[in-house]
Amino acid sequence: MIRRIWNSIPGRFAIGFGMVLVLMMVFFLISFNQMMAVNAAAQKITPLGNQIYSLNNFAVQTMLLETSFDRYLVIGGVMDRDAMMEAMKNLERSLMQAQFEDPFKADMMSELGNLRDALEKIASISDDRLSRSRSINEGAITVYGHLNRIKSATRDLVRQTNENLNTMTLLQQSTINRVVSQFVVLTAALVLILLGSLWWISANFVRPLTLLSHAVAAFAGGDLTARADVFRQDEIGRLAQIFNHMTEQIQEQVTHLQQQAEDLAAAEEEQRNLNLELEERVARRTAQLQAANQDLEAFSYSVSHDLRAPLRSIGGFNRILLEDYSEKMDDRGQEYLHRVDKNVARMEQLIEGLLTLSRLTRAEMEMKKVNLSALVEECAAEAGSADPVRKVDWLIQPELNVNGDERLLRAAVQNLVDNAFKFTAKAAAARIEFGLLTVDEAEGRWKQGSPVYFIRDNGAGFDMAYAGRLFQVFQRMHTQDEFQGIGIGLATVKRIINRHGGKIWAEGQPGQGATFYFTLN
Amino acid sequence: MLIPWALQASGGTAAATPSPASIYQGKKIAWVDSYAPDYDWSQELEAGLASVLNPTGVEWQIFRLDMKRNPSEEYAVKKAAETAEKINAYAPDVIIATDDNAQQWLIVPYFATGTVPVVFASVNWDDSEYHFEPEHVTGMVEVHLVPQLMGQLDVLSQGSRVGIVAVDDITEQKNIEYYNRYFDRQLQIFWVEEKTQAEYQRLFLQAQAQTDVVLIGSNAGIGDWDEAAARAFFIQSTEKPTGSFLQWMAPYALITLAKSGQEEGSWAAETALRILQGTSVQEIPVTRNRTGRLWINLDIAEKLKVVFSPYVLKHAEVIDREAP
Repeated sequence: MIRRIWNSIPGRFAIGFGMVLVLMMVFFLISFNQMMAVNAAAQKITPLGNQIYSLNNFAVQTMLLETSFDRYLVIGGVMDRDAMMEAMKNLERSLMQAQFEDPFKADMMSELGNLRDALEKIASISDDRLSRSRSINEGAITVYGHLNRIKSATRDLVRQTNENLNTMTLLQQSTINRVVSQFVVLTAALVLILLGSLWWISANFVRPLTLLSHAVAAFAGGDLTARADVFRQDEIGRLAQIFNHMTEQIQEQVTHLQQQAEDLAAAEEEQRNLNLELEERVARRTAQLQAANQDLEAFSYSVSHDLRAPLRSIGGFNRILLEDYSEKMDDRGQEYLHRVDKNVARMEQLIEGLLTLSRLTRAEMEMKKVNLSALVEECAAEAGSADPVRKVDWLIQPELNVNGDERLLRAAVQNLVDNAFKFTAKAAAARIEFGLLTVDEAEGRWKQGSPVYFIRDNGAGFDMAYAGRLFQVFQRMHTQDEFQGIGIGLATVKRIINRHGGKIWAEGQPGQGATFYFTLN
Repeated sequence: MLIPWALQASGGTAAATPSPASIYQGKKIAWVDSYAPDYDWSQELEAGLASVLNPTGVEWQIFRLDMKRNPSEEYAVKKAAETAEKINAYAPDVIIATDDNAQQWLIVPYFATGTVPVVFASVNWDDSEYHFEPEHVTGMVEVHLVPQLMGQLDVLSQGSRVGIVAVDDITEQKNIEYYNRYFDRQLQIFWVEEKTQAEYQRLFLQAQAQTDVVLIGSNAGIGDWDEAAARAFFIQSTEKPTGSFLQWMAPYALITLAKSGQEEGSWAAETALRILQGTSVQEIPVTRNRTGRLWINLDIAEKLKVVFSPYVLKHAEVIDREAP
């Protein structure tokens, strides 16, 4: 039990505090006893001091009476006589008031009685003093004899009282010296105990805590090998053990992490090398691709451009045949010529589309602020003027401004608006919308946070299964008979949107209309 | 009726500081008394010595010369030699010698130039005749307290003339020589040549008629001196203030101020102790007595209708008809 208490810091402090408390109690009791001893000595001294005071007062009154008597003896006046007798009364009063003990008091009472008689006897000699000189001399000698005995007895008692006082003072001094000595010894003992306690606290608490704090500081400073060399059974020892265990674990984990970090760094280095290699490959492929595209575009342009001349020649000769030689052909021949003319015209459209697509791809971009809503309105007006019979409900969100090349954006909007106008031709109540998706609407459709614009119609729509082909060149969802077109418009739109760093996609259902969404970077 | 208070005429003797007995351990003092134990003066000296020496525990021994009863020179020489031998055998650290006989017959021939320090006392008026060396000898010369006595008598007298009546012998001649220094040689001397009481009384009446204050000198050598008759004469005949320096003449004088053997004895003892404590003899100058014993004669005072001053009444010893 005691060992268990001793092995805990509160237990040690409780034992130490108890010991100090006991010592303080002992110190207090001894000090109290000493104070009582000093007080007892003082109690004995006080009456002696009072007696000396009374004796001094008595001696003073005796001296005053003697002086009065001297004066009366020399002068002999009535006033001096009265003063002398008053001094006598004062002397008697001082004796009565003092706390003197017998035999002094009894002797003095007797002496004062005789003194008063002698004084009264001399005071009664009022006439012819010189003729009664013997009586005066004898009376004066008697008076002085009494006064001398009073003074002598007073001196003796003062001397004796002083001796007693000195004895008591020495006793008190001795007591005080003893008290002081004991106090010094007790104080020294307390100081030693205090110093011992400080040493004990230092050795048992401060030093191990210092070692522990140094170890913690060293560990916090990066020395993972720092350990607290504290080997105790109390809380500090346990704290040190926990600290040491914790630091060992942390050291292991840090070592492991360092190993992982090294591995990761190696992997990152390898990844970086791979990326560099990949980037080089991509760049190389991109360059190859760009070269191929440029070649392809050049080829496409050249083919388109070079095909236009013979195609126009074919169309011209075909029209000459129709105009000048149709009478020489039967109906079948004429029909074939019409078919040739029709396909030539279509082929011209195709070539023109390809040239347009090629030009848009190659043209230099001039970026500026563009009012996209205004472009849509202008394109809608153009479409409406081309077929004034149709009624279309246009819903155009105003003041949607973007940064881009106005010429290219106009071409893109033109294609999208024409597309919507075209595919709502069979709708009972055509309605075409242009606007910007709200954040909620954009949620799930586009993740990059850019504004998403849309053009929605309630026209023929399309099957989402073919959505991937919508923006490919010459890909059509409907026959030429249903809706005219050459299949280049949406490819052109996509090419323009892509050149603006954006993305375009479409949603729709057959007969339910279609919506084209696009973003611009 | 006696009042045991000594008159402190002027100044006082320094009280000896009580010293621990260990200081005087093994120390010895020899006191050479010129007279005998039954002589009043010797008793006063002894009392003074004992009052100082006994409390210290120092060892001291008395050597008596008894020369009052044996005044011859032959006795003096022989007694001094014997005493010197005894003193040497005693081997004291300090010798105290009192009165002139001890100086003349013992100290001068045997110890004045020796290694043992000597303290003298009760040497009348002057010690120069002994030629003491200050390195070895110091002491107290004995003088009569003339100014102190005359201070009391002047208050009572009606004039300034002072006369003295004294037996014509060497001692009184020496005394009067020194008195006259105080009176600036104006003292009127009435020598008693025939050494009879009648002549003494006649000269007293003559002195009283010619002076304002009369000093009562020694009656030594007057063979027919009748104390009772003399006392009656002086009570009846005294008309003017009278004084004396001689204790045995106090019954015939109004005021007597006599030397104190106790003062001289205690001073000699204190001086011896100082020497034992290490003070060199040379550092202690020769001094003189300063206190005396005061007597007043109430019978003569009644005759003269004198009321004494409070100071005198407080300190005087009284002589009246009932006194011995």
